Order: sequence, then structure tokens, then C-alpha cells
Amino acid sequence: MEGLTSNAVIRFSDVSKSYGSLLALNDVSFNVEEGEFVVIVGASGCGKSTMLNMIAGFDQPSNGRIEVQGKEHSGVNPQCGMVFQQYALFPWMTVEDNIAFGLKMKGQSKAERRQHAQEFIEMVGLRGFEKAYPKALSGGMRQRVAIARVLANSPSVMLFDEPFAALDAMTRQVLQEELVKIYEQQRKTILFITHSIDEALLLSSRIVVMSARPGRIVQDIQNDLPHPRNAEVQLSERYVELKRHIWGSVQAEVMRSIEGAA
Amino acid sequence: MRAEPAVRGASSAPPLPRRRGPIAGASKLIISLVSCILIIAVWEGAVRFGFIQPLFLPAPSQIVNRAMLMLEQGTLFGHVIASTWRVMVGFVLASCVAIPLGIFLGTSALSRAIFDPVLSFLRPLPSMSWIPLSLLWFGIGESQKYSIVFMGSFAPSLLYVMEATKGVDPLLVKAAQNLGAKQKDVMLEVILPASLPQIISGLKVMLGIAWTCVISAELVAAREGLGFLIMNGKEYFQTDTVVLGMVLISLTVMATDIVFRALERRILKWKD
Amino acid sequence: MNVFRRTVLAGLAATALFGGCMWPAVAAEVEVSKVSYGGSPWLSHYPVWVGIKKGLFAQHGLEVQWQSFSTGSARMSSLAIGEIDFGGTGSISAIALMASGAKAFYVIAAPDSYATVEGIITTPDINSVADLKGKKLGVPFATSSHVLALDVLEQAGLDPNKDVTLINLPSSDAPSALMAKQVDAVTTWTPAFNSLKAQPNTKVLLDAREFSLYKQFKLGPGPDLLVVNQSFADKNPKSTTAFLQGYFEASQFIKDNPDEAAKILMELTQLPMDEQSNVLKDIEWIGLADQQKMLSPDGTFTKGLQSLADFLVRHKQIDTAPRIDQWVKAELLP
Repeated sequence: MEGLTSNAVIRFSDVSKSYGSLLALNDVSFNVEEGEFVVIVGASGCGKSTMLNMIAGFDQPSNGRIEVQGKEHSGVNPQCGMVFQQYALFPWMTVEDNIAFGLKMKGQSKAERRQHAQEFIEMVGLRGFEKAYPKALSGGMRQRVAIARVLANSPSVMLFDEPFAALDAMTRQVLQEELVKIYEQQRKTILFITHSIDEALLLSSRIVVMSARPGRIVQDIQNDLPHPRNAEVQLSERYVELKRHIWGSVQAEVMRSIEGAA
Repeated sequence: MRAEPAVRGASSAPPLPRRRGPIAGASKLIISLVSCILIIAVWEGAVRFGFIQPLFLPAPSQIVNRAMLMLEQGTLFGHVIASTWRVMVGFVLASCVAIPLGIFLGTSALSRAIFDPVLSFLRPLPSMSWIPLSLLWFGIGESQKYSIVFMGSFAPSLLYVMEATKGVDPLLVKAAQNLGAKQKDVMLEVILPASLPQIISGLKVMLGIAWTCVISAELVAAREGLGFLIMNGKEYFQTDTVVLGMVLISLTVMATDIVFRALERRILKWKD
Repeated sequence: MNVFRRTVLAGLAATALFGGCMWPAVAAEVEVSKVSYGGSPWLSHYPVWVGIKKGLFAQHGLEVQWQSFSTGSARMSSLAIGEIDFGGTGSISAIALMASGAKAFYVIAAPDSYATVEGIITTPDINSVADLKGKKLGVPFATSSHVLALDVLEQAGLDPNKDVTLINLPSSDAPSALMAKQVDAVTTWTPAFNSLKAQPNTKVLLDAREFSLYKQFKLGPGPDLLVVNQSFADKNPKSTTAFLQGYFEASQFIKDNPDEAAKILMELTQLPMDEQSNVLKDIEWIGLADQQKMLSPDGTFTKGLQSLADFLVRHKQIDTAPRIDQWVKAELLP
């Protein structure tokens, strides 16, 4: 992975991040290739969210370089669209206006925006809810709007910060399946954070396991499970083997962080 | 006075779904109505049977008579309209300055540091204290009345708006920036609408303050208005005029509150 | 100022001692020896202030406590509920209180006349009352000046609601408003009247001698009244009479010793000596000898007040005219 690959969309070179005396991320180097679906797994406080925030430009590294599409960014980079765990929908806007927000920022006309937004409303299955306000939607529907809002803005990278953690199990499963579908359709580069090893195995093309604080990469695994990753795949030997493998290192890190805290 | 129960009833039964106590809507209305009638009856009786001298508190019927008399003379609505207009002009001007400035100050720590001393100085000043300066600056015309309402309600409004912007979820700002919003877009498209519910509830409080301002503004150099009505009534020991002025202020504030609430419901239909 | 204050204090101490010595001799004659008076720096209160400072009330066995009120209506409210026993008031306020039906007080004397220091002052371009048409006239509402303005406008055939814009302007704000040309004319009284008169670019259009009732009864637009709380007077007629005695001795003293009186009054009014002396020159003190005649039911003063009440009704300032003689009590006069 040592970075000369020409089509790396995201490139971390010796990135460290500290908040005061607290070292959150320690000397991380890794690349994300175009079209990859990378899921980052790790215990809480391992600096996963810090990584996403730095990619999106909300935060800057203390040391090292982060390049997105070959360029360093000093401010917020709309090319990296973020889906937040708490949806972050604008409650005063209808579904349609929420989805069209990025287009409005780009200066598109109202008619253009509406037409464009409609495409994504249909993609996430929200037809008929165009004029609804977020308060009228369930958690799952709200997260669909958030995903459509990022997609409509056509970023080159999509960042997911534990997007399904607040949803119930059924809804989560449906959304996971839909996300895989969207990924297959759109072939966006995706960086996805989760606590759940199962979620990582179901979604990813590659899994990165982070250590407890200070965050480092402890494992970087290509996920070669076949698609669609239905119940049969989830009961296969390869699935169980991968899960055990990842669980082993995650557990070690969790133990380490508990001991560290104690 | 006769209109009072009706208005009170209307304001206590808004069509919005609202958490109900153990007493349901209709019976609550009846209880309010009965208590209202009872209070007025006891009051009337106390004056009629000489327990209270009319000089100190006139009977409800005397206040109604005074209202009828002024209605005949055609002066009643003049006072209501004069005060309401002054409140509206001063209040709208104050809001028009306070909302954009408050959002700007609320989002910029530097400008807040610059303006904080001035604001801290202005905030505790009661509107009354501006009267001498306002007379020198604006004379004795209408603009002086507007200025009193403006000065009395501007600084508190600004603080309300600043406070409201502080309550905006930073995640929404993050999301907007992530979707390509610039500083100006963040203020107009995120901070303003997100803090609007709190701004509006702040403005509702401010409207009450604006009314106290207009009453003090009308103590000086006025020829009409509810504040003038009260003060002039006091000079002539017409306590019924004084109480009528008070009743009219109360009714007018209630009416504007109803209008404000309807407006709020329209603007904030996205709120749960 | 310090030296002055010290002499006043010394004088006070002396009168207190003096009064204290006198007291036992006459104390038996009055029902209560401590009475309170509501006043202000306005000229009708001068005799009470001087009487207290010179120990003139003490000679009649009375200790008078001075209470300050900034507005006449506050003073009258306080008198009506018996917080203070005696008070001085403008007649407009008194008539208004009578019209409200409250029989809470008696009129017991008519202290003064000051028709030459109340009037209308205008910018130089206004030459007659008729010229006020379409202009702004500042008047302190519900006062004698308000009545004067309504009266002279009526005499000139102008409608105060249509032809002229009357603006409620307290007497103290009149000078600045006229100088800043925020109004074209003001109706006001001394000392604002005197200070405006002394300014360049102003003109005295008329004074209160133009008031219709002055022409008829020698009564100003809002003559001052000395009033007493009704139940106090009913219970303490001797104290009331003693108060009146002290009062008229003091007003005689002011008439006879204007310089000394002015010195004593400076503390009350905060006016400089020369202005204080000038104010005193403009006041005509009505002596005890004339009171009985004026305050009788057919007296000029009682009749004049009745006409004033009718005038207020005609101008919709009060609802009904009270019968003034029911409130006037001349028999308590010494």
C-alpha cells in the first residue's frame, strides 16, 4: 500500500493528531483507492471520527499530510460528503429541500434542483415524501434523506460516521442492503465507520481495524466475501473466520483501553 | 370589559394540539368564564355597596360607561391605534437591526468581543432613562416615541437573538459546510432558520417590553395613546379612565399575541 | 452655599428652641400639635416653608412636617387618603378631584395670584393668538396653563382640536422645546416663563391677565388653593385654624421682608437670589382680611372657581361640574 498508486483518492501520510496533551491519532499512513468501500472498525475513542473529520476538512492534522484526490485542503471540502449518525437534517426544510441543499449552494435554479433532487428521492425510496418535514419521518427515513442529500451533491468520496448506530436492527439491515445497492450502482469511494464487525463484513470491500488510543492501524484486510452477502454468506466458514480474526484484535484493543483507563 | 371573557376564552383554547391537564378544553373554558364573571360581579358589588370608593377603584360598569362615552366621542380607538402603531414601528425597527446583528455577533467571537462592552452598558438602561436624550435628539414628535420603543427593546432583543444562535446545533452548521455552504450561506440558510423559534419566543417577550416602553414614551409630549390616556386620567382623578387604559393595554397585547401566535404557527410549521 | 446652609441650620435650631419654649403656653388650645403639609418648590407653598423656618406655626402650638411631592395629583391623592393633613394645590387638580365625587377635602384659603408670570411665549413671527392656527403649541396638560390655552384659543375663535396642535409638554421642558423649535409656542408659568421671557428670539404673546375669568373675577386660570383633609378638619378645627393663622402670618412676613424671605426660600427652590427675588415680586399675596369675603358662597373666588369648573366641562376635561361651595369652608379662617 506504500503510496505510489496513481488512483489513490485519499492518502494519509504519517498523520498524527493531538488535542492538547492527548494524542488521538498516532502516525497513521494509508490510502483509499477509487471505488473502494473501506470500513473502519475500532473501540470508542480510537480516533476513527477524527480521521473522517480531517478528511472532510473540519479538522487539520497536527503532523503529516492528508491528500484528497492528490490535493491538501485547508478548509471544509464538499468533495467529501458526510453522513452523520444524528442525520443532521435541516428541520425547517422539506425532504426535497434538504436533498437539494448542496445544489442550491452550487447556484442551481429551483427547477433544476427539483428535477435533480427527484432522482435521488426515488433512489432512496422516498417518493411521496418530497414535501414532508423531517419531524414526520422515522429514523430510517431521515437517514435515507441524509444519504440522498450527500449523493445529490455528487461528491467524489462519501464519509459515513456510524450512520446506522441509532437505528433499530430491522431498519439497519434494510438500509445496509440499500447502501450496498447504491454503492454498486454509483461506485463511489466510501469510508465508513462502525462499531459492528458484522456491519463491516456485510458492507466493505476492505476493513481497517484501529487500535485503542492513540489510534493506529492494526489490521488492514481485503474483504473477499462474495456478493450478495445474504444469510448463506453470513453462515459461511470464510465469514466466521474473518469475524473471529477481526474480533480477536478488536477485543485485545478494547481490553487495552479498559486497562489503560483503569 | 364585556369583551374580555370572549378574548380570554379564545386565547386559552388554541387549535394546536397541546398537553391537556386533568381538565379538558371545554370545561376549562367554562371554569375560566365563570371565574371571570364572578370576579367582575364581586368587584361591581364591592363598589356599589360602598366597600370600595370609586376614586380608588371604579366599578366595571363605570369603566364600561367611560369606554362608551369615549366611543361616542370617537377618541377610544385613536388611543389604541396610536400606541399600537408606535409599538409596531419601534419594535419592527429594533427587530430589523437586532436579528441580523445578533446572528452576526452570535457567530463571530471577535465581533462579540468588540460589541460586548457597549451591549453590557446599554442592556440595563430602562426605556424611561432615554426620554431626556430622545427629546433632545428627536424632538417631541412621533419619531421620539419610536426611538423610546426602539431603545428600550433593541438591546434585550439583540441579546435574545445572540442567545438563540448559541442554541443552534453545531452539527447542522457542519452539515451545511460539508454541502458547500459559505459563511454567508451558513448565517442565512442555517443559523437564521435554526434559531428562529427561539428568536420568535424572544420577540414575544420583547413585544411586552415594547408596550411598557410606549407607555413611558407617552408620558411626555403626547396627545394620544394609551399611556397618555392613563396619565391624563390620573391628573384629572378619573380613575375609570385610568383603569380603562389598563384594560385596553391588556386587551391589545392579548390581541397582538394571538396574531403573533398565528404567525408563529405559519412560520414554524416544521417544528414539532 | 455652605455658610448659608449653616446659618439656616443655626436659625432652625434657634426657632426650635424658641418654639419649644412657646409651646406649653398654647398647646392646650389645639387638638393635635403635629400636622403634615404636602408641598413642592412652587410659589403657593412659600408661606408654609417660611412659616416652618421662622417658627411661625410653632407660635400657635403646631409642629408642621414638610412632605415633598413632584406632581399636584400625587399630592392630592395623598391628601385624599389622609397621608398628609394640609396641602397646596392648583385649582384644576382640586376641581378634578371634586368632580370624581370624592368629598375628601375642604378648600380653606386662596393664597395668591400670579397672573403676570403665566402665559404664552412664542417664536417672534407669531403676533396674535390667531397666528397660532396650524401651529404646534406645547402645554402641560391638566394644568392652569392648559386651561389658559383653551380659553384664549376659544376667545380667538380657534378650535383647540382642529386649528392648533396641542402637545403635552411639562412646564420644565417648555424652554428647551421652544428654543429647539420643536414647538411654535408654549404655555407655561414661572420660573420657565421668566427664563424664556429673558431669552432672545422669544416673545410673550400674552399672560394670564387675558384669561376670561381674570377679566371677570380677577381669577387666574388655575388659582392656587390651600386644602385640608376633610376628616382632619372636622376632628381638629382648632389645629386647622392655628395652621391658617401661621400661614397668613408667614405670607405677611414674605410681603414685608422679601429679601429675608428670598434667602430662606432659596433652599427650597434652588433658585439664585436674584431670580428668587424676582419671583417674589410677581406674586400678589392675598391677605387674611380678604379671605372670608372671597370664599363666601357668593364670593368672587367661589364663583370664579365654579365658572372654571363649568369651563372644564365645556372643554371635556371633566365629566360634570361639582358644586364648588360644598367643598369651600371659610368658617375655619381665624
